[in-house]
Amino acid sequence: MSKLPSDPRGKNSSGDVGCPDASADKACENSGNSLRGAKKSGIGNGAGRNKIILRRCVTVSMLVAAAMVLSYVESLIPPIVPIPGVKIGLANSVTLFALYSLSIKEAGAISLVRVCLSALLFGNAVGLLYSASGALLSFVMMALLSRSRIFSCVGVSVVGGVAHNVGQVLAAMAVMQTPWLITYLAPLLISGVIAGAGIGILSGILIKKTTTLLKKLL
Amino acid sequence: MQEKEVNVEGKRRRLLADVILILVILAIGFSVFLIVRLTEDEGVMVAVRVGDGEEQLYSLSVDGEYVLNGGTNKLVISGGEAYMVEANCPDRTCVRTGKISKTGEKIVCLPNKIYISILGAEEVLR
Repeated sequence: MSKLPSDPRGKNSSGDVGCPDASADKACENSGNSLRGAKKSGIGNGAGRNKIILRRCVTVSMLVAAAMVLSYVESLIPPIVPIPGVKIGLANSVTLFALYSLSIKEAGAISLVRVCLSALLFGNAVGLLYSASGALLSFVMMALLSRSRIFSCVGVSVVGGVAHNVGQVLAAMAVMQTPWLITYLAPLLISGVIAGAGIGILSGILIKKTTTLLKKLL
Repeated sequence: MQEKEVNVEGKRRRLLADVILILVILAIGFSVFLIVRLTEDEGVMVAVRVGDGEEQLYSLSVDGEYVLNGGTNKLVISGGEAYMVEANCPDRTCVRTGKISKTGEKIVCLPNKIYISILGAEEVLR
């Protein structure tokens, strides 16, 4: 994706248009990896493999688009309480969905592209620092817990929401050099649980309804 | 048949784990909240810090208006309470935070890296 400025394609695709391509590229790479394994074991022919790679690419790209729309919708909702960091986390449902229905790699790619793009479109540089640290902590926790199967996807979503808020508070403490920001954890933990549970229930329904369809397609 | 039973059992176990998880996090949240509330005290001074800069101290008993961070935010101290009246950021969370006067209360502006806290008598003497 790092095209030289002299490259004509690099010129007409501006930065924010370039990013979704990056996600698709990465997704192809991922499914390519898993499919290369499939080839070794003698499953699938060339054309069928390409078709599946393409389908996975399109699915990941559409999920990025869906996450962007949800981020945008969320940026339109006025803050419910005047506490920095309290939010619904609508876009987290996409990450959760990808974690359960696709793979950790693809979910990570979607999450990464979504954070970068929404900072570019709806946020600022300082905001990127907070949301990136929140998203990173949240994604690592959700990826681990979704595979351990201790909790259902509601529990995973709750941990994701809370971890996002904890990550943000830690980043704010580091940026402002004030340990006392930790008192913000009280409202943020509670709001993280409520938002996470809501998103988890919704995503759970979505994952359940689409399992058979996705199995057929991918 | 047996697999299905195991499935149902696993589902029930995960539901229980979810509920316990939610209750534990809520309990931590409420205890942090209680600790903050129980240790709060009448404030004496307002400490303002912009970015990594030095802390500016203002007395809560002296009314005044202060322009912060080269004009991005404006702080007002009036009647023993401090509050933000102006901010150039879109969410204006610091303005919506309202008035603060007790120790432990704070106004934070994340985009402009402004941190305003209330200091009690003990902290000021130290």
